[in-house]
Amino acid sequence: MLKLAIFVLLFLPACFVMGRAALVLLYGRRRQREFAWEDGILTGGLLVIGLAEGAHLGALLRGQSVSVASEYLFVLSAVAFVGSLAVWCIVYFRTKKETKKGLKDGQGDATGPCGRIPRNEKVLQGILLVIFLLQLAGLLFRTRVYPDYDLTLETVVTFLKEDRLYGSNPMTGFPYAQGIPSRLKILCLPTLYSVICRWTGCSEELLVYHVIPGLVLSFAYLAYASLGRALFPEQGFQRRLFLVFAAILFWVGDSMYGLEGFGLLHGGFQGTAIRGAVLMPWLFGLCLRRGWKLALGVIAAEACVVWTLYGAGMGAFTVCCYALLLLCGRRFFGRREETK
Amino acid sequence: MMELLKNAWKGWLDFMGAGKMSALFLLGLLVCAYLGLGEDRSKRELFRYSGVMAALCICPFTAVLFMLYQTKFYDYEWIWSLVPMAGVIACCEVLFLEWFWRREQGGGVRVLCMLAALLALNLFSSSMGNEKWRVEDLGPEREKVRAVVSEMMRDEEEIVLWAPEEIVRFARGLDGNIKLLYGRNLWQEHLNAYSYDTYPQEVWKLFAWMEMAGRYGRVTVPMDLDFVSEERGLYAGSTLDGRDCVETALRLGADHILVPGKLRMEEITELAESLSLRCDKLGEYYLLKKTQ
Repeated sequence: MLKLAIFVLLFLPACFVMGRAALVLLYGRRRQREFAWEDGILTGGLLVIGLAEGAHLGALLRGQSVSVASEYLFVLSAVAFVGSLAVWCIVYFRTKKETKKGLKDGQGDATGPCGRIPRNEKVLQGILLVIFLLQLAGLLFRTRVYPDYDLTLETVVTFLKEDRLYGSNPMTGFPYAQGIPSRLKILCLPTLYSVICRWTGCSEELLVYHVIPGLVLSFAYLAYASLGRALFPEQGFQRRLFLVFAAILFWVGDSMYGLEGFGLLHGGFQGTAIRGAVLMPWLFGLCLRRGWKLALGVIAAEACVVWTLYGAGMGAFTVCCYALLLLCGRRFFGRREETK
Repeated sequence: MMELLKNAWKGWLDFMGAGKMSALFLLGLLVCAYLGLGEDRSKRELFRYSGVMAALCICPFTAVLFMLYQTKFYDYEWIWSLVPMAGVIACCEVLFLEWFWRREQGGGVRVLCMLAALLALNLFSSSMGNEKWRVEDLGPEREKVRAVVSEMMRDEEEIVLWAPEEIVRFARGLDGNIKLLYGRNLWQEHLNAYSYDTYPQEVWKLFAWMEMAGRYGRVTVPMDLDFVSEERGLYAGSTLDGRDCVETALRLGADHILVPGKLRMEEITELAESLSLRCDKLGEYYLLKKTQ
């Protein structure tokens, strides 16, 4: 339990460091400042999915063993984290040095962009925190899971029992007679969950039904915070109010399988829930801010966690439709509107 | 093609019936358009994109194309992943509240009343107790099965189990050392998409007998209409004999058979003895085990 608590506590800061470094590499030292801290954590989450996919494919193609995947993921994560930490430190200290120099030369504002948060915004933050904690408590202490369309838990249990990836049918425990679709085989989430279980020693049920949905809920809030920042860049009060409404809509939106609230509150461990509640809202925010490079990362992450069959996934389709509408908008409404 | 169109239209009706979030979404877009809210670039783009995509998701012809794109594996409701419904509703509500605040010139009580009305509107757009998608806490049910499973596995390393539906549903998730003659993908057929394996007719007979034995409390049971399927070898008017089924299960490799406790004690003991099996009471069930 202690190992699990340490893992969860370190997960978000590690994601932030890796994500920030990835943003520097993708957009350069100056432009990466346009992305807020929530984008840093979300980008780190994308990296974790990428690393898990690499470890999963490496193990699947070679030894088909969870132990091998665990070793690969450990090495990949360690290398990525140390490299990211180095990049992040360099950027952080160089930026600090430049700011100091700018202040000495009389340029810039000593108080920086972050002033004190007004009282009404603090009240909204408090309300948001209460809603988030209530939802989190619901996920951690109750098992209101809808497992009818999913076999993640059985797959993780089977992986760990056999120390083998996709050796047996998780529904029966007997070896596959006919096998499984190869598109399904390359999805990395069951391997990632198995490896976390092995690292932390926690039970599969606790991780899959409680801990992972809690983490996904946190990431969903970050994704909506990012979307809110794209919609209300300078208005802190509106941004927080937007998040409060979105948080209520998570509850309201659990009325049907397939809706993001339903996935988030009753199946947060599923790839489709991660797509619906984290990847897609973030992608919409990225489209609004023209973060196309990161959008490509989101599309790739979706392919690693959701069975898109031969379709390229909802992310790719969304970006294409969005770009098409932008072009049509420019054609029909002219460039004048773009500068409004 | 007509079938696909019908599915798309039925999907939209189901989607509307399950909750009113889509109605709230459309209302939000209309109100913002009418009041001229969200005129800056980002909101205008989001509304324009969402409006167009929502229209395409509602129109059966384009909905069919979207469904074909995501392949027929996923149902209609998944195409709504293309529309940022929660984001748009939340954004419309913020803009509307901001507009109302400006109109009332900071009239605190009225703005608070409007905020309460918006929250109520959100709550009314939920499923409102619709039973179809009501998700119960699985915890108590799992705990019951966990007690049976841990009792059964006390002196065992690995077993092959044949058991009623409520046990099979959770057994593999609780203990990887339990192998099953059939998993829950037997009756939750959409789960079969995850593998190419199929179940033979004799396994279907085992499933039907186990469930009907629980209903009738008898070893020989008549075939219920809800199990009848010619392609599965389950015919109307036929009966299933418990002895045949237990023999089949043993032949398929089962070494632990959990039968419903509703069965008459004398009948099940006689059956166990005739097949040289040990019979013990285990909670609400009888456990038939191969004698060493």
